[in-house]
Amino acid sequence: MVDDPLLRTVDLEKHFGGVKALDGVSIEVEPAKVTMLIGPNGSGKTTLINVVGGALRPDGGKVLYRDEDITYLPPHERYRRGIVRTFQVPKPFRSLSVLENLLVASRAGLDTSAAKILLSTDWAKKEEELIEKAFRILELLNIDHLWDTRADQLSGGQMKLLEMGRALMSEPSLLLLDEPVAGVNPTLAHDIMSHIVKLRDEIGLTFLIVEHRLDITLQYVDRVYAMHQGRVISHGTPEEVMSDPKVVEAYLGD
Amino acid sequence: MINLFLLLVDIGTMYGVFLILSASMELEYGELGIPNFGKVMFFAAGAFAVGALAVRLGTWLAGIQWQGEFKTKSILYSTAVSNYFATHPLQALLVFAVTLVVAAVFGAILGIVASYPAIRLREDYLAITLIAAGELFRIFGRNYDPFIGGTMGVGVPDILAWMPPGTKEAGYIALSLSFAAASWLILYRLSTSPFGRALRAIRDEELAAATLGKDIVKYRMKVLALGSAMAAVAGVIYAYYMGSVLADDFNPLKTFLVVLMVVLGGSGNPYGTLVGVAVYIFLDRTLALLKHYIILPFDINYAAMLFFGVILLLVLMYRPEGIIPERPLLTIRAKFCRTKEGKLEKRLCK
Amino acid sequence: MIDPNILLDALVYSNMLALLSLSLTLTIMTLKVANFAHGDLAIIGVYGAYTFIVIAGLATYLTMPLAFLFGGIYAVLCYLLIYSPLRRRGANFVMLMIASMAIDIATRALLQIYADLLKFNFKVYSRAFIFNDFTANILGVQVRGLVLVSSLSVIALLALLYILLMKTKFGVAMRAAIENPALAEVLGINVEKVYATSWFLAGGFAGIAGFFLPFRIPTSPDLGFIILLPIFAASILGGINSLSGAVVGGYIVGFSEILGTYLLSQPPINLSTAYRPAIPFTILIITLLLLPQGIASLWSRGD
Ligand SMILES: Nc1ncnc2c1ncn2[C@@H]1O[C@H](COP(=O)(O)OP(=O)(O)OP(=O)(O)O)[C@@H](O)[C@H]1O
Ligand SMILES: [Mg+2]
Repeated sequence: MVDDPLLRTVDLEKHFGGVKALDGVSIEVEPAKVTMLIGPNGSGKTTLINVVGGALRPDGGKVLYRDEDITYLPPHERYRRGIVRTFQVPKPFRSLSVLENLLVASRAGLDTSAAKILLSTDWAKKEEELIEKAFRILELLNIDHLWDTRADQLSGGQMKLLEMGRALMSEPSLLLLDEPVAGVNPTLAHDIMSHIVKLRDEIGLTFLIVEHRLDITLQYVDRVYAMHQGRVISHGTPEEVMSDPKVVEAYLGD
Repeated sequence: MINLFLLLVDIGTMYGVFLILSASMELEYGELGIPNFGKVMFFAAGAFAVGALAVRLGTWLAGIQWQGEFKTKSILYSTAVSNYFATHPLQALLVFAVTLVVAAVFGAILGIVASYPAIRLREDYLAITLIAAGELFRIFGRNYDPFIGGTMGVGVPDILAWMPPGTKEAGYIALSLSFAAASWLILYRLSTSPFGRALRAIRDEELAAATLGKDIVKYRMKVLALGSAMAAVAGVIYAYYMGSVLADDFNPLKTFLVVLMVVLGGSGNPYGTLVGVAVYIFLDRTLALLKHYIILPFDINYAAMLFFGVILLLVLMYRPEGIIPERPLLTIRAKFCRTKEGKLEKRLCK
Repeated sequence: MIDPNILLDALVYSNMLALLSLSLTLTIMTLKVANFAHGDLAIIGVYGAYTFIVIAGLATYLTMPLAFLFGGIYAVLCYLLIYSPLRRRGANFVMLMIASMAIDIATRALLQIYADLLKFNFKVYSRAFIFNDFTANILGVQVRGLVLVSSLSVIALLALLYILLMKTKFGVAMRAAIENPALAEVLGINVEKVYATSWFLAGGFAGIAGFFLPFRIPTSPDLGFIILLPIFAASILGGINSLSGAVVGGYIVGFSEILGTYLLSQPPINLSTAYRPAIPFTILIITLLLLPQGIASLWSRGD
């Protein structure tokens, strides 16, 4: 491996009652690569995203980002460092329009100071630029016609796209995507994966993607980690992992 | 006969006071989703600050020597200070300004303290904590005489005593409504800005908002500080208008009324508060007028309470979005529109 | 050092609080939201009983079942007419909470109007009334009847509830409906009926607790709101989802409140007894900060 990993987890542990959702998980995510996390249902993938994204505290182990220990940082601090995640079950801001959902994610920080908003109108100028940018993302995801729709009026697939849109709007350096193309039609799913590859190549974005739809996604990814019952059972290139008997067994045995 | 002029003064001033309170509740509950069931505590903070300070500051400025207990003499001295203010408008305004600032700062600090449990507790635990804190504050006011005169209450000097008779009342309306307008404009501006957008995002999906960089603790602290300072300002105006402060006036019923106004008008929409307060004041005054015309075998005030309780229940049941429902907010995006060809164009479309 | 009468008073007060926090917990377990009108149920119960005492001339203790009935019926009505339809219409947690606040305001107003009517029509005291008690001689010691009756009531009602929950088919249904309403529905349990029954029981327990009030202090319509804080403190201390925790919480809060108020009002502190609510408030705050799962978490896992 040439580059130092951007993200490293060391022996992560997470228990829910008697269930060991994470049982000593150590992975490395290299910069400007698309890394995929696969595994049967309940193998701990979402839990890992939750721990890396800051939604859950692990019971043991560490999360290192650019060699900094971020294990116990709150989510907004991770966002500040460039880590953004999406949710497997979409969490749209339901009373906001699609466009506003994207604007919330923006890194411009227009919302942070009440005093500034009350005392000046500078933010309005910047907001126009953000709207243009948000529209470009909506066009890419093919939901620009829905820009003024309340988020809770969207279909399940559209909500997934909105998740993706917010994540892209946030200009991350590491994107954690939990099943980004679940419920999305195959053509659009391929478009999204191609765009992910484009972002990787053009601006060096790093991805950690959880997906079940291997038929669509596998061809786009650089590295794969396979999990089973809270453990990493295999990792390597897509070909290596998919031909690993342990992986086949894990999927079949499920 | 009822004095129509005084009735209008009362309606106008109370509209202002309740609008400030409702605007602060709308900011906290409607926008950010914190049901501040301790609202009356912050309202009391402002009024108590005036009760504790105004007459003392006034006597000090006027050079009046205080003799006797605060509890028994505050009404007397506040009249003396009012007489002094009648010829010294600058001193009167100074007392007003000082108490206003002290009250707002006191309110903001209390709000920040309240944000500590607000961040950590479930809404219902928070509610009972804030209700109880408010009740203890009231009990302290009632039992510790040197603070605001205990059960006797405290006199508050008339800061508009220098205005000619007849215009003074209009002065109180103007004072109340101008502060109300300012509060509402603050609410409106914040609500229709990226700040308000962040608040609603946090209200709708806390974890997603945190994931997208919102420091939830900080937002709650800011909003509770601002909302509580606003409520304290309402308390200041109320205290000066009433001319006295009585601890027991600041009971949880006041919080209930503010919740009623916000929910009735439509929470999540700043225009809702304007309407909600108006409807409440209208109903309240109508019931008060009825008092003069009908005789019941029970106190009509209780009927009013029952009425308002039932109204709130009916609203929750049949029109939970209130009279003016929440709409997706309009920041600068109001200027954007899609043409038929699907291109983005800059012009006003809403 | 402490006057035994104060200890007995603390016992009586705690008996009452235990019933109230137990019944509050029962309603919270079904509705999943705090009911700010819970204290009022007690007052509904006692006004119901009082009416029969002053109008029908019933002996005081005979009206206890009536207090149960009035509290229970009012609670069921609140549930069936307000909470349940609200929830079916998709009201969220905070809206249910606001509804309970509105119910509290409306209930207290109703009680005030009722008190006015009672006085107007029957010329009897309808506020700040008290109940007279008997004294029993037990092994040469004079004991107030209330000490015995309230303690025995708590024991009997707890035993009843325990048998109902643990030994009957209804109890199984009730626990299932509380644990997982959707699943219970699938299994053919009428969740709505089970919840309504829980509310009836909760209201009845609250009514009995209310019946004890006038023996200790003058009782008025607003008292339900005043006792709300200690009830919540007890329930939260108990872990809000634990019936046994609620009972233990009731005794801890009750004894702390009575003994604490007494001790603080003695020299050298001489604090006014008006600050009494500060004690349950302090317990509430400390619990929420240090033991948010309540004391029940010390001996059980979320039952
Ligand atoms: N909040 C929670 N509370 C209790 N158990 C949980 C929780 N979250 C996850 N689990 C359990 O942890 C295990 C791993 O769950 P996780 O959601 O991480 O799996 P996954 O790999 O994302 O599965 P899927 O492919 O179905 O999304 C499962 O057994 C799940 O039931
Ligand atoms: Mg998952």
